Amino acid sequence: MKIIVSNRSGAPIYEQIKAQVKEAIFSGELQEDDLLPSIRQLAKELKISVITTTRAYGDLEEEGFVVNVQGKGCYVLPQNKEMARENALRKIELGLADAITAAKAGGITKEEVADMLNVLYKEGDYE
Amino acid sequence: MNNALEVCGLNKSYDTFSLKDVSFKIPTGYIMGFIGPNGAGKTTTIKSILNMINHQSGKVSLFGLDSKDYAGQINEQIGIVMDSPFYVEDWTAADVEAAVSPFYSRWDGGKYVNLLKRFAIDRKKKIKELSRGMKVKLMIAVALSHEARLLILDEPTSGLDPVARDELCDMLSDFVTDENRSVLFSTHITLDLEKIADYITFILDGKIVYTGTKDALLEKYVLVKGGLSEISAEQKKLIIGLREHSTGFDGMTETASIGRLPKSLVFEPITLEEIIICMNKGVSLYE
Amino acid sequence: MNKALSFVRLDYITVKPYLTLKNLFIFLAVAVIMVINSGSSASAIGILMVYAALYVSYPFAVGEKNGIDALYTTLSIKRNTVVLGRYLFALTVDVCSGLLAYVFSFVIMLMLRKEFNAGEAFLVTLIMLLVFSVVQAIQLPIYFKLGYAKAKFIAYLPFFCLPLATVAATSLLRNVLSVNQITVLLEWLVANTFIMVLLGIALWLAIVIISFLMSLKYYNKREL
Repeated sequence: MKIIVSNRSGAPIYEQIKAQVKEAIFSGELQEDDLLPSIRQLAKELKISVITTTRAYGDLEEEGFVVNVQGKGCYVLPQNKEMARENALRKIELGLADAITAAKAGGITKEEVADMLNVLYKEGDYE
Repeated sequence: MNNALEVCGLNKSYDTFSLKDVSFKIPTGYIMGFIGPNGAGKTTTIKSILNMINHQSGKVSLFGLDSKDYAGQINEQIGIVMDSPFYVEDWTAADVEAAVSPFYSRWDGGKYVNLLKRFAIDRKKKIKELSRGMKVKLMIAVALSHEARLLILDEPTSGLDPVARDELCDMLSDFVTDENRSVLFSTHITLDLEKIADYITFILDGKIVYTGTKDALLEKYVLVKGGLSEISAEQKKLIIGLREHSTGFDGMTETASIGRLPKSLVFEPITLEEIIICMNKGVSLYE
Repeated sequence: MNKALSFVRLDYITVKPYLTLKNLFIFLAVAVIMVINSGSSASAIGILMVYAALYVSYPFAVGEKNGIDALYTTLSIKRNTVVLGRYLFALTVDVCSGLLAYVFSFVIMLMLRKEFNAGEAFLVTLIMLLVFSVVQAIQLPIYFKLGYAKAKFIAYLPFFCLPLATVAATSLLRNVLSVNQITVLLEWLVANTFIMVLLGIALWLAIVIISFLMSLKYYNKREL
């Protein structure tokens, strides 16, 4: 699992951590019952405050993504299909909005865009 | 949660300077940065905590025990790193061990040797022949070799290059991966604390100006910049450490005050160093 | 008591870097010269013990220069323990130097093929021990009160005052008492050596104890 935080990205660090953990869960990289790095270990590796990692994990637990077992650590909870679907839909919408803006700016028609969508989808199947 | 260190109402007067009602706590398992400009009272506070100087009033407890009544037991559990070693300069690292180990019931000689190796400190070299960075590492090696639960460091990084400072920060982060251990780290180089500190206590002119989490402090204030004509005299009062020049002004203001200032101004996240500078300027304005 | 003993060891480690062979050789050389001049071992013993007595001030000198009082605090060594340990250190130095001086003087006499008077040497050693001990008893409270930097000049005065005082006392006695009376006094003293020894020890003990109590008081008050 990759977690990188940036002081310059504008988003609070604990939000960045949350976003990346959720991403890993949605993409399947983190499976149910996987153990997250401990709060202190993560703080040490990212060179940030323990309070920040505690807050990130605390929020993730509240939002139902992980569960904190006393003495053992944070385990990934079985995924809520609804949330995974919603997350995927949100990303698709963002991606499509970008594509449409680019298409309009470049004078590409909707049909051409739809064709590209079909081709790319099929390519994805062979991966 | 227990507190590794509790300072309540510490007062100490000298002719030209005094500590007034200094109070703060460090919960066990965290790193507290102790910041303030030079001469603000950081070293005086730390020396009072360690009973190196007598405070006139106030109470200090370490691990829940009063620091004066239980001085014997407590000092065993504290590792101390000052900006210069209080060992005889003609001692070698081996002499230091011979000198201090009888006074620590949980001295781990093997660990000391390993730490010296890790820091590449020659056991036979005299302290006065070591570089500044090595001297600090030697003090840390001693502090880590007697099962200390609280590390107190007073300006250990002044005079260290960025590489050495980074190594020190790594060591401290590593130290608190055990949540029974805590760190008090006084410095005026706040760059180190921006990364690893959990809590910050800010002292200015002998008084505590802020004590709480680092995140909350950085969220409480914001940098503000703008043109001289954009801001009224009334609004200027909201700016701490106001600096006016021909092309505009800058300073710091509480995040809560943003609503009362013109939207045309530029607001930016602030760093610990900028907070110290603006607060310090702010104080001199009111004198 | 354990801590006081550990403290004596700490004092030894503190002065160890300065116990150089070079210093020792210089004193030995002076001792040899003095024996050649005077023909008896007494002066050798004297000079060697001066060498040792000087070392009692080293923990103060070295310690203060390196801020070692801060180290004592971090090792949670109580102030009373510091004072007790320092006095024990002085005692240890005195006794060890007495033994060494006795042995060295024997060796020097042997090498110079002179006669070694064991009894006389022993007496001289003992008297020197008592004298230096008293001098230290005067010096230590001064060091504890003022610290080495401020005290060192004052603290060395006893070293010079003592010979002056002895000369003054003897000339006073000579003027006040007649030769007969002095002879009678000396004879009485020699006859009652046992009492004299007891008195001497009692006096010495009293001086040391008073000195110790004063040191305790001064050091506890000092702000470092």
